[in-house]
Amino acid sequence: MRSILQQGQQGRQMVLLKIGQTQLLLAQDQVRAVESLLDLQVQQAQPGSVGWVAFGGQRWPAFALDHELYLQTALAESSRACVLLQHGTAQRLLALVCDEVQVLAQFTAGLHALPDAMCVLQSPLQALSRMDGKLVCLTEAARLVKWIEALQEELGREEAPALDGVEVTAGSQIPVTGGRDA
Amino acid sequence: MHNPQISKTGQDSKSAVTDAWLLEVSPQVRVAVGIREVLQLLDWQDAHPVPLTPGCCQQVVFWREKILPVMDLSLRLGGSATGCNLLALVAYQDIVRQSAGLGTLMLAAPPRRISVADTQACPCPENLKELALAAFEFEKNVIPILDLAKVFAINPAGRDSLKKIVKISNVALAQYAISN
Repeated sequence: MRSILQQGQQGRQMVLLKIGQTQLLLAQDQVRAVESLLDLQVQQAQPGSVGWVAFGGQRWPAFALDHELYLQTALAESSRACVLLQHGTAQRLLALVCDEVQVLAQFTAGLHALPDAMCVLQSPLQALSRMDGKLVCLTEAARLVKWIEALQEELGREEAPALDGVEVTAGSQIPVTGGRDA
Repeated sequence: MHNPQISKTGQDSKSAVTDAWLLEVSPQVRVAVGIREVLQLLDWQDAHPVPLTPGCCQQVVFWREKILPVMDLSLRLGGSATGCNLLALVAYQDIVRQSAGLGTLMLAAPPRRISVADTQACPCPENLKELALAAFEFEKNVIPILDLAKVFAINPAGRDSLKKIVKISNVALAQYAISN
Protein backbone atom coordinates (compact mmCIF):
# COMPACT_ATOMS: atom_id res chain seq x y z
CA MET A 1 0.00 0.00 0.00
CA ARG A 2 1.00 3.61 -0.32
CA SER A 3 2.63 5.15 2.69
CA ILE A 4 2.75 8.70 1.48
CA LEU A 5 2.43 11.39 4.06
CA GLN A 6 0.40 14.41 3.23
CA GLN A 7 2.77 16.89 4.73
CA GLY A 8 0.39 19.75 4.05
CA GLN A 9 -1.91 18.58 6.83
CA GLN A 10 0.71 17.97 9.49
CA GLY A 11 1.03 20.55 12.21
CA ARG A 12 -2.21 22.21 11.12
CA GLN A 13 -5.17 22.86 13.33
CA MET A 14 -7.66 20.14 12.64
CA VAL A 15 -11.10 19.17 13.81
CA LEU A 16 -12.31 15.69 14.61
CA LEU A 17 -15.97 14.93 13.93
CA LYS A 18 -17.22 11.83 15.68
CA ILE A 19 -20.10 9.98 14.05
CA GLY A 20 -20.67 6.74 15.90
CA GLN A 21 -17.40 4.81 15.75
CA THR A 22 -16.23 6.77 12.73
CA GLN A 23 -13.96 9.76 13.22
CA LEU A 24 -13.61 12.28 10.42
CA LEU A 25 -10.65 14.61 10.36
CA LEU A 26 -10.95 18.00 8.67
CA ALA A 27 -8.85 21.13 8.53
CA GLN A 28 -10.20 23.56 11.09
CA ASP A 29 -10.46 26.38 8.56
CA GLN A 30 -13.27 24.46 6.87
CA VAL A 31 -15.43 24.74 9.98
CA ARG A 32 -17.52 27.88 9.98
CA ALA A 33 -19.56 27.21 13.10
CA VAL A 34 -20.72 24.51 15.47
CA GLU A 35 -24.37 24.66 16.49
CA SER A 36 -26.21 22.79 19.16
CA LEU A 37 -28.63 20.21 17.92
CA LEU A 38 -31.28 22.18 19.77
CA ASP A 39 -30.96 24.79 17.02
CA LEU A 40 -31.94 22.26 14.38
CA GLN A 41 -35.36 22.95 12.89
CA VAL A 42 -36.75 19.53 12.17
CA GLN A 43 -40.15 20.62 10.88
CA GLN A 44 -40.66 20.16 7.14
CA ALA A 45 -37.31 18.49 6.67
CA GLN A 46 -37.06 17.41 3.08
CA PRO A 47 -36.24 13.82 2.11
CA GLY A 48 -32.58 13.08 2.63
CA SER A 49 -32.10 15.74 5.28
CA VAL A 50 -32.90 15.89 8.97
CA GLY A 51 -33.96 19.53 9.14
CA TRP A 52 -32.61 23.02 8.77
CA VAL A 53 -30.04 25.18 10.46
CA ALA A 54 -30.13 28.97 10.31
CA PHE A 55 -26.82 30.72 9.82
CA GLY A 56 -25.74 33.95 8.18
CA GLY A 57 -29.25 34.96 7.23
CA GLN A 58 -29.86 31.71 5.40
CA ARG A 59 -31.19 28.34 6.35
CA TRP A 60 -29.21 25.30 5.35
CA PRO A 61 -30.48 21.74 5.01
CA ALA A 62 -28.82 19.62 7.66
CA PHE A 63 -27.65 16.10 6.88
CA ALA A 64 -26.97 13.18 9.16
CA LEU A 65 -24.67 10.33 8.21
CA ASP A 66 -24.29 7.02 10.00
CA HIS A 67 -20.92 5.54 10.91
CA GLU A 68 -20.70 4.07 7.41
CA LEU A 69 -21.30 7.57 5.98
CA TYR A 70 -24.69 6.86 4.48
CA LEU A 71 -27.54 9.32 4.76
CA GLN A 72 -29.87 8.96 7.68
CA THR A 73 -33.13 10.77 8.18
CA ALA A 74 -33.53 9.69 11.77
CA LEU A 75 -31.13 11.32 14.19
CA ALA A 76 -29.08 8.94 16.28
CA GLU A 77 -29.43 9.20 20.05
CA SER A 78 -25.74 10.03 20.22
CA SER A 79 -26.11 13.10 17.96
CA ARG A 80 -25.21 16.28 19.84
CA ALA A 81 -24.02 18.94 17.41
CA CYS A 82 -24.41 20.29 13.92
CA VAL A 83 -21.25 21.54 12.31
CA LEU A 84 -21.33 24.02 9.46
CA LEU A 85 -18.58 23.30 6.97
CA GLN A 86 -17.68 25.77 4.27
CA HIS A 87 -16.83 24.56 0.82
CA GLY A 88 -16.24 26.21 -2.51
CA THR A 89 -16.78 29.85 -1.86
CA ALA A 90 -17.08 31.07 1.70
CA GLN A 91 -20.81 31.53 1.20
CA ARG A 92 -21.57 27.83 0.71
CA LEU A 93 -22.05 25.72 3.79
CA LEU A 94 -22.74 22.09 4.53
CA ALA A 95 -24.62 21.42 7.76
CA LEU A 96 -23.62 18.03 9.12
CA VAL A 97 -24.90 16.41 12.28
CA CYS A 98 -22.35 14.63 14.43
CA ASP A 99 -21.94 13.25 17.93
CA GLU A 100 -18.99 15.30 19.02
CA VAL A 101 -16.59 17.92 17.71
CA GLN A 102 -13.03 17.96 18.98
CA VAL A 103 -10.49 20.61 18.10
CA LEU A 104 -6.92 19.39 17.62
CA ALA A 105 -4.63 22.34 18.20
CA GLN A 106 -1.74 20.73 16.35
CA PHE A 107 -2.18 17.61 14.32
CA THR A 108 1.10 15.73 14.12
CA ALA A 109 0.12 12.14 13.40
CA GLY A 110 1.23 10.57 10.12
CA LEU A 111 -1.26 10.32 7.30
CA HIS A 112 -1.49 7.30 5.03
CA ALA A 113 -3.19 7.23 1.67
CA LEU A 114 -6.23 5.00 1.48
CA PRO A 115 -5.00 1.57 0.29
CA ASP A 116 -5.74 0.94 -3.38
CA ALA A 117 -7.91 -2.08 -2.61
CA MET A 118 -10.17 0.11 -0.47
CA CYS A 119 -10.78 2.83 -3.04
CA VAL A 120 -14.38 3.53 -3.98
CA LEU A 121 -15.35 6.17 -6.50
CA GLN A 122 -16.81 9.28 -4.87
CA SER A 123 -15.58 8.24 -1.44
CA PRO A 124 -14.99 11.39 0.60
CA LEU A 125 -12.08 9.78 2.42
CA GLN A 126 -8.63 11.01 1.42
CA ALA A 127 -6.31 9.36 3.90
CA LEU A 128 -6.14 7.44 7.15
CA SER A 129 -4.34 8.11 10.37
CA ARG A 130 -4.02 6.77 13.88
CA MET A 131 -4.80 8.77 16.98
CA ASP A 132 -4.74 7.30 20.47
CA GLY A 133 -4.94 3.81 19.02
CA LYS A 134 -8.03 4.64 16.97
CA LEU A 135 -8.48 5.12 13.26
CA VAL A 136 -9.30 8.58 11.92
CA CYS A 137 -10.25 9.37 8.33
CA LEU A 138 -9.09 12.54 6.62
CA THR A 139 -11.69 14.24 4.47
CA GLU A 140 -12.72 17.72 3.42
CA ALA A 141 -16.00 19.57 3.15
CA ALA A 142 -16.08 19.63 -0.64
CA ARG A 143 -15.67 15.84 -0.75
CA LEU A 144 -18.45 15.35 1.76
CA VAL A 145 -20.69 17.56 -0.35
CA LYS A 146 -19.96 15.50 -3.46
CA TRP A 147 -20.62 12.31 -1.54
CA ILE A 148 -23.95 13.55 -0.20
CA GLU A 149 -24.89 14.75 -3.67
CA ALA A 150 -24.12 11.26 -5.00
CA LEU A 151 -26.34 9.76 -2.33
CA GLN A 152 -29.05 12.22 -3.23
CA GLU A 153 -28.85 11.17 -6.85
CA GLU A 154 -29.46 7.65 -5.70
CA LEU A 155 -32.35 8.86 -3.62
CA GLY A 156 -33.85 10.60 -6.62
CA ARG A 157 -33.31 14.14 -7.67
CA GLU A 158 -36.93 15.13 -7.42
CA GLU A 159 -37.09 14.15 -3.77
CA ALA A 160 -33.79 15.45 -2.56
CA PRO A 161 -33.21 18.97 -1.33
CA ALA A 162 -30.55 21.21 -2.73
CA LEU A 163 -27.50 21.57 -0.54
CA ASP A 164 -27.34 25.30 -1.05
CA GLY A 165 -28.80 27.62 1.52
CA VAL A 166 -32.12 29.36 1.15
CA GLU A 167 -32.37 33.01 1.95
CA VAL A 168 -34.53 33.73 4.93
CA THR A 169 -37.36 36.11 4.21
CA ALA A 170 -40.35 37.28 6.18
CA GLY A 171 -42.52 34.79 4.35
CA SER A 172 -40.30 31.78 4.90
CA GLN A 173 -42.18 28.65 5.83
CA ILE A 174 -39.45 27.47 8.15
CA PRO A 175 -39.21 29.48 11.35
CA VAL A 176 -35.71 30.69 11.93
CA THR A 177 -34.81 30.69 15.58
CA GLY A 178 -31.77 29.96 17.58
CA GLY A 179 -29.31 30.25 14.73
CA ARG A 180 -26.18 32.27 15.21
CA ASP A 181 -25.45 34.87 12.62
CA ALA A 182 -22.08 35.06 10.98
CA MET B 1 6.82 -24.29 -11.15
CA HIS B 2 7.74 -21.20 -13.13
CA ASN B 3 6.97 -18.65 -10.51
CA PRO B 4 9.87 -16.38 -9.63
CA GLN B 5 8.33 -15.53 -6.26
CA ILE B 6 8.53 -19.08 -4.97
CA SER B 7 12.03 -20.15 -4.01
CA LYS B 8 13.46 -23.19 -5.67
CA THR B 9 15.09 -25.71 -3.42
CA GLY B 10 15.60 -28.47 -5.98
CA GLN B 11 18.70 -28.70 -8.16
CA ASP B 12 17.28 -30.53 -11.15
CA SER B 13 15.14 -28.19 -13.22
CA LYS B 14 13.03 -31.10 -14.43
CA SER B 15 11.97 -31.98 -10.92
CA ALA B 16 12.43 -28.66 -9.15
CA VAL B 17 10.72 -28.42 -5.80
CA THR B 18 9.70 -25.11 -4.29
CA ASP B 19 8.44 -24.15 -0.87
CA ALA B 20 5.29 -22.15 -0.41
CA TRP B 21 2.68 -21.20 2.15
CA LEU B 22 -0.72 -22.79 1.75
CA LEU B 23 -3.32 -20.34 3.01
CA GLU B 24 -6.86 -21.38 3.86
CA VAL B 25 -8.87 -18.22 3.21
CA SER B 26 -12.13 -20.08 3.77
CA PRO B 27 -13.04 -23.73 4.36
CA GLN B 28 -13.65 -23.98 0.61
CA VAL B 29 -10.83 -21.84 -0.76
CA ARG B 30 -7.11 -22.42 -0.44
CA VAL B 31 -4.42 -20.39 -2.14
CA ALA B 32 -0.62 -20.32 -2.10
CA VAL B 33 1.95 -17.57 -1.82
CA GLY B 34 5.72 -17.57 -1.96
CA ILE B 35 7.60 -18.59 1.13
CA ARG B 36 9.06 -15.10 1.56
CA GLU B 37 5.78 -13.32 1.06
CA VAL B 38 4.27 -14.08 4.47
CA LEU B 39 6.03 -11.95 7.08
CA GLN B 40 3.98 -12.45 10.20
CA LEU B 41 0.64 -13.52 11.62
CA LEU B 42 -1.54 -10.86 13.24
CA ASP B 43 -4.57 -10.93 15.48
CA TRP B 44 -7.72 -10.14 13.55
CA GLN B 45 -9.29 -8.60 16.66
CA ASP B 46 -7.10 -5.55 16.15
CA ALA B 47 -8.74 -4.62 12.82
CA HIS B 48 -10.52 -1.27 12.46
CA PRO B 49 -13.46 -0.74 10.08
CA VAL B 50 -13.17 1.90 7.34
CA PRO B 51 -16.38 3.34 5.92
CA LEU B 52 -17.20 3.31 2.21
CA THR B 53 -14.92 0.52 1.17
CA PRO B 54 -15.49 -2.54 -1.05
CA GLY B 55 -17.09 -5.51 0.68
CA CYS B 56 -13.95 -7.62 0.47
CA CYS B 57 -11.69 -5.00 2.04
CA GLN B 58 -13.41 -3.00 4.76
CA GLN B 59 -10.87 -3.02 7.59
CA VAL B 60 -7.32 -1.98 8.34
CA VAL B 61 -4.77 -2.92 10.97
CA PHE B 62 -2.00 -0.85 12.48
CA TRP B 63 1.45 -2.35 12.07
CA ARG B 64 4.72 -0.58 12.82
CA GLU B 65 3.50 2.95 12.07
CA LYS B 66 1.76 1.70 8.96
CA ILE B 67 -1.92 1.21 8.19
CA LEU B 68 -2.53 -1.96 6.20
CA PRO B 69 -5.64 -3.19 4.39
CA VAL B 70 -7.34 -6.41 5.50
CA MET B 71 -8.43 -8.47 2.48
CA ASP B 72 -11.15 -11.10 2.65
CA LEU B 73 -9.99 -13.07 -0.36
CA SER B 74 -12.90 -15.45 -0.15
CA LEU B 75 -15.29 -12.54 -0.74
CA ARG B 76 -12.98 -11.11 -3.39
CA LEU B 77 -13.27 -14.40 -5.29
CA GLY B 78 -17.03 -14.40 -5.00
CA GLY B 79 -17.35 -16.83 -2.10
CA SER B 80 -18.72 -16.39 1.39
CA ALA B 81 -17.05 -14.33 4.08
CA THR B 82 -14.01 -15.83 5.73
CA GLY B 83 -14.57 -17.19 9.22
CA CYS B 84 -11.53 -15.22 10.18
CA ASN B 85 -9.53 -15.53 13.33
CA LEU B 86 -6.11 -14.41 12.19
CA LEU B 87 -4.37 -12.41 9.50
CA ALA B 88 -1.35 -13.15 7.36
CA LEU B 89 0.80 -10.08 6.87
CA VAL B 90 2.12 -10.32 3.32
CA ALA B 91 4.66 -8.35 1.32
CA TYR B 92 4.82 -7.97 -2.43
CA GLN B 93 6.42 -5.90 -5.12
CA ASP B 94 4.21 -2.96 -6.00
CA ILE B 95 5.05 -2.65 -9.67
CA VAL B 96 3.16 0.59 -10.17
CA ARG B 97 5.02 2.44 -7.42
CA GLN B 98 8.26 0.47 -7.70
CA SER B 99 8.21 -0.21 -3.99
CA ALA B 100 7.38 -2.89 -1.48
CA GLY B 101 3.68 -3.29 -0.80
CA LEU B 102 2.17 -4.62 2.40
CA GLY B 103 -1.26 -6.00 3.17
CA THR B 104 -3.01 -8.63 5.22
CA LEU B 105 -5.12 -11.62 4.23
CA MET B 106 -7.89 -13.02 6.40
CA LEU B 107 -7.25 -16.66 7.20
CA ALA B 108 -9.62 -19.34 8.40
CA ALA B 109 -6.72 -21.47 9.67
CA PRO B 110 -2.99 -21.08 10.30
CA PRO B 111 -0.77 -21.21 7.19
CA ARG B 112 0.77 -24.51 6.23
CA ARG B 113 4.23 -24.79 4.72
CA ILE B 114 4.29 -27.11 1.74
CA SER B 115 6.65 -28.21 -1.00
CA VAL B 116 5.51 -28.12 -4.58
CA ALA B 117 7.11 -29.81 -7.57
CA ASP B 118 7.00 -28.60 -11.14
CA THR B 119 5.13 -31.74 -12.05
CA GLN B 120 2.16 -30.48 -10.01
CA ALA B 121 1.62 -27.48 -12.30
CA CYS B 122 -1.84 -27.31 -13.86
CA PRO B 123 -4.00 -24.79 -15.71
CA CYS B 124 -5.41 -22.01 -13.60
CA PRO B 125 -9.20 -21.97 -13.36
CA GLU B 126 -10.76 -19.17 -15.37
CA ASN B 127 -12.30 -17.45 -12.35
CA LEU B 128 -8.92 -17.24 -10.61
CA LYS B 129 -6.81 -16.04 -13.52
CA GLU B 130 -7.37 -12.42 -12.60
CA LEU B 131 -5.52 -12.78 -9.30
CA ALA B 132 -3.23 -15.75 -9.90
CA LEU B 133 0.24 -16.13 -11.35
CA ALA B 134 -0.15 -19.87 -11.88
CA ALA B 135 -1.70 -22.93 -10.25
CA PHE B 136 -0.79 -26.41 -9.08
CA GLU B 137 -2.54 -29.54 -7.93
CA PHE B 138 -2.34 -30.35 -4.27
CA GLU B 139 -4.35 -32.95 -2.39
CA LYS B 140 -6.64 -33.30 -5.40
CA ASN B 141 -7.41 -29.57 -5.44
CA VAL B 142 -6.28 -26.80 -7.75
CA ILE B 143 -4.37 -24.22 -5.73
CA PRO B 144 -3.80 -20.80 -7.31
CA ILE B 145 -0.54 -18.99 -6.60
CA LEU B 146 -1.59 -15.47 -5.74
CA ASP B 147 -0.35 -12.39 -7.51
CA LEU B 148 -0.45 -10.25 -4.39
CA ALA B 149 0.12 -7.01 -6.30
CA LYS B 150 -3.16 -7.66 -8.12
CA VAL B 151 -4.94 -8.75 -4.95
CA PHE B 152 -4.18 -5.40 -3.32
CA ALA B 153 -4.60 -3.27 -6.44
CA ILE B 154 -7.68 -1.16 -7.14
CA ASN B 155 -10.64 -3.46 -7.55
CA PRO B 156 -12.81 -1.98 -10.31
CA ALA B 157 -15.87 -3.96 -9.25
CA GLY B 158 -15.59 -2.73 -5.69
CA ARG B 159 -14.54 0.77 -6.60
CA ASP B 160 -17.57 1.51 -8.73
CA SER B 161 -20.24 0.23 -6.43
CA LEU B 162 -22.49 2.04 -4.03
CA LYS B 163 -23.80 -1.02 -2.31
CA LYS B 164 -26.22 0.40 0.13
CA ILE B 165 -29.44 2.19 -0.56
CA VAL B 166 -30.13 5.45 1.18
CA LYS B 167 -32.36 4.73 4.10
CA ILE B 168 -35.33 6.97 4.44
CA SER B 169 -37.31 6.82 7.61
CA ASN B 170 -39.70 9.72 7.76
CA VAL B 171 -41.58 7.95 10.53
CA ALA B 172 -38.50 8.03 12.70
CA LEU B 173 -37.89 11.65 11.77
CA ALA B 174 -41.42 12.60 12.73
CA GLN B 175 -40.96 10.84 16.06
CA TYR B 176 -37.86 12.90 16.70
CA ALA B 177 -39.71 16.09 15.88
CA ILE B 178 -42.48 15.25 18.32
CA SER B 179 -40.08 14.35 21.10
CA ASN B 180 -38.30 17.66 20.71
